[in-house]
Amino acid sequence: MVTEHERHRTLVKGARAGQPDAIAGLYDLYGKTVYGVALRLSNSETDAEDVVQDVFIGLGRSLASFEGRGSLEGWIKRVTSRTALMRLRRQRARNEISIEAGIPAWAESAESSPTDRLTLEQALAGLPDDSRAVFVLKEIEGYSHREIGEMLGIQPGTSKIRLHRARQELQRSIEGTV
Amino acid sequence: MIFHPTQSRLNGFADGELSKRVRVKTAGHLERCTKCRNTIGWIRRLSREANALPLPSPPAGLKDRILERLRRGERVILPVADPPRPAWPGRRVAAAFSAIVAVAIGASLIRAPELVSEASELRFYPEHPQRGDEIAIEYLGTSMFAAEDSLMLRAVYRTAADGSTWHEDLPVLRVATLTGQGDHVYTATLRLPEDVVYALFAVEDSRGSRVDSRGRATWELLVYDDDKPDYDALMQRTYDLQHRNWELALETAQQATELYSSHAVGWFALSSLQQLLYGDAGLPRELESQHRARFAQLERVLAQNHAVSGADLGGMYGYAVTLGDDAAADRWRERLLREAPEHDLAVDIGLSEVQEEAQNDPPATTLAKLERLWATAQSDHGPLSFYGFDIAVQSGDSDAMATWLDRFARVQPRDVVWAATALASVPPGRELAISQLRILLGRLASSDDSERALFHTKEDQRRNDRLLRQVLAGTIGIALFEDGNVSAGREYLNVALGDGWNVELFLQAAEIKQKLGETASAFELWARVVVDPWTSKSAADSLSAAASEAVGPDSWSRMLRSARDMMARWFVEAASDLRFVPAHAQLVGSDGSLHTIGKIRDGRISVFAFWSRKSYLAVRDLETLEKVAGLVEELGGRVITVVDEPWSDGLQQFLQTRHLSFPAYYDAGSEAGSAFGVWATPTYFVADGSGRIWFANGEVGELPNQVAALRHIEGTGATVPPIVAENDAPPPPAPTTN
Repeated sequence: MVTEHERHRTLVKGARAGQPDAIAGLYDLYGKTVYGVALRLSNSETDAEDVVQDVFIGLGRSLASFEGRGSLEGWIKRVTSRTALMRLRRQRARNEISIEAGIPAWAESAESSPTDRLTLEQALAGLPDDSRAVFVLKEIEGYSHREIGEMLGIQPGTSKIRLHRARQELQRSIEGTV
Repeated sequence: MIFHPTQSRLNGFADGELSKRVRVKTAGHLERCTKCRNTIGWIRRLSREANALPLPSPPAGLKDRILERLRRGERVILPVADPPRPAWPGRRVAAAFSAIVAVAIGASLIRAPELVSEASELRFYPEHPQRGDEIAIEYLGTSMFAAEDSLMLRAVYRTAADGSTWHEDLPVLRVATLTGQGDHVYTATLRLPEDVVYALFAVEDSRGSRVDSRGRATWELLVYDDDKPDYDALMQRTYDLQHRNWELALETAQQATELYSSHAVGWFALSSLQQLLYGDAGLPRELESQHRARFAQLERVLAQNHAVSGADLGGMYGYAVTLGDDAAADRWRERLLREAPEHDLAVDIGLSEVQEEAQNDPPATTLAKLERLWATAQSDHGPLSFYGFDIAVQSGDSDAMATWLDRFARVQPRDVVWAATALASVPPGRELAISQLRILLGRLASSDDSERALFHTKEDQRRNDRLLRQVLAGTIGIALFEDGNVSAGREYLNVALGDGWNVELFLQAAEIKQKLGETASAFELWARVVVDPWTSKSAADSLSAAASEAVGPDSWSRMLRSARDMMARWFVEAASDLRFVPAHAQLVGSDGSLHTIGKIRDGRISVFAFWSRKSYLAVRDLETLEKVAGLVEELGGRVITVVDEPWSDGLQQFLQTRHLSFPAYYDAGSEAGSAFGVWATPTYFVADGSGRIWFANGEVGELPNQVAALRHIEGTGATVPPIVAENDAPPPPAPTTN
């Protein structure tokens, strides 16, 4: 019987060799996670889809740098975060990003919809890029301020300030809608 | 009255990030305060709910689209590593140095400057090349280059042979064309020349009208020796950064000594930088004793070695000198002179001896000794060429002047203008000076692009050329006047006075005009001197009183207005940064109170000066900055200085002992530095009353003029004429008149 660990190893080995089946297998395992991280960071379904495509197309080549010291899921999430943030930075530089104040489509199509969650997702979507990125990476993805600092190219102290601002903004936004 | 913890502290409490002492104190408050307990509860609830948000499902068909692209053979390079941080990469080094510094000045000084630009990236594959490797380059651009199919990659290459040459004295090369791949991505490949160990890059459009230099930080590449940076690469980085980011230069020297502890030159460089930082106070005792122990260790090894390189002999001599160990310095001096007389430091020693003897020698004897020394030095020696030129000018020997001017021009091409100007002031050198200055003036017309700095656009370079043209034409004009060639002198001088802002030239020219009886022109030039903010109030008042009497108050007022217009136009033309200051960013005052930048500015024209005690370059500017603060205050503006360390007794004492009273604030969390894009200190910005930044990265001496220019614009509602393009600028006079 093939264990979960062996299956992983086979998929990673196959993906490194550029086998589409192995990439498809990794997509089945991590596609939803990758899409979730990309969507929360980029705040746009189109961008999130592009990020997911880029991640899985580039995965085979990039897995060479995965040393197997942490979990594969953690590594993929980190690569996804970097890819989404890079895209966000480039868009910001082109002034193409627009923050929509309304409920994003992905929030409405989520599996269950208690009011609190919708309100939180709506508020989250309305945060400025910088604050949202820190909030998502810290509160949802669980990175430390030091790790976030490294990913965003900012000081850990700046990450803390942005988290604080995000919380204030979310509180104002949520309490205003209640 | 109840004092609640700050929001930041409550956040820290909720996140479990407070020190034990502060946590206990905050918990004590929470026991009594419902309001703060609710805040903590809200933060934690928010965290739980955010964590529980369900993952959205990817759209149907996404997997198929990925597989289709894979089948087409598409490739994507993923950012598997975090973006490079330009500053303070070695945490271990930072911590070690921090501990040393903290002993001396009682404060935690070490902080990394923020990334300047998050917008664009230049990547190298391999990231850590070996010498002579082929490099694939990927540039992720910005909207700045939206319409460009291709871009130019410019670079400064440094080799070990460049020694401590100043960054600006090295040519800037066009090394590759970056080809657009769509979606603002550009790629190129290049092969590093075999001897290049350190390279700096910037990207620009094909016309050189827009440059991405990463906020002047540029992108850098260090050659590796297997798995660690090459020793020469680290030393070249140290030398290069000395003039651009002093904090990083110090850190790089530290890294070089950690990785290559047996290289005496690295230790010499590190101790020299530290000496500069601590100045007259000398190295802190602990640091000094560490250096002495290291020196003794190196000496034990090298003293037994009979084949020590000239570099290490020089390094040991220099290291002993910086540590003030005279006996050791004598030992290594003797060995250096015996075993490597051609080494720069050996030539330095010979030069000091000649200089000492020159007090009793006639200039001709000194020149003969310098000639012998020049023959010994294998490479061109800057201080020797400078001193030789100086003695030649003193000697009045025109042949010697020509010889040493030629040597000086070869060794320090950027300073040849200064040399020719000095030569023009002595009658025997005047003819040679005029001829040299005319050559330089002619060369300006066909400006060499390799002299344009990495971070300058061609327009920036044209402005620099205009300033240089003013100096050259002005010096020729004055020299021709002194020689009695009035008409040619007037022609050159009029060209010089029509462009640029150079108060020293205005003063000299005003005196000449007065001698020629051109009184109105002379007063117009004095009006320029009077409106310059660096002119003392008493001098300005006395000049104004005399001028008002001579030409009448109405004429004088018109001249002053015209002079202010000219100054404003000259400085405002150089405005390059039209962002707004981050009004909501908070700074910490010396009493610990928080202030937003908007509140501190209070709608006034403001100078923002970022400085650090860790930067020799920043510390060197502080005395001038104090004067600038006074002048800016007189102009109705204000100087806001931003320091990179928390308030402490050590910092207060530092300011007091230097009699610095300008407003200073601590940039906690680097929020302001990050928003301004500060990469190194000192960095200066000037914003108008509305908060719009007009000037960035200027010189400290220009700040009052920039403030005066903005004040003039705001006060008169004047519009700024467009920048004079190179082709529209008045041409230099024909060099045939004499």
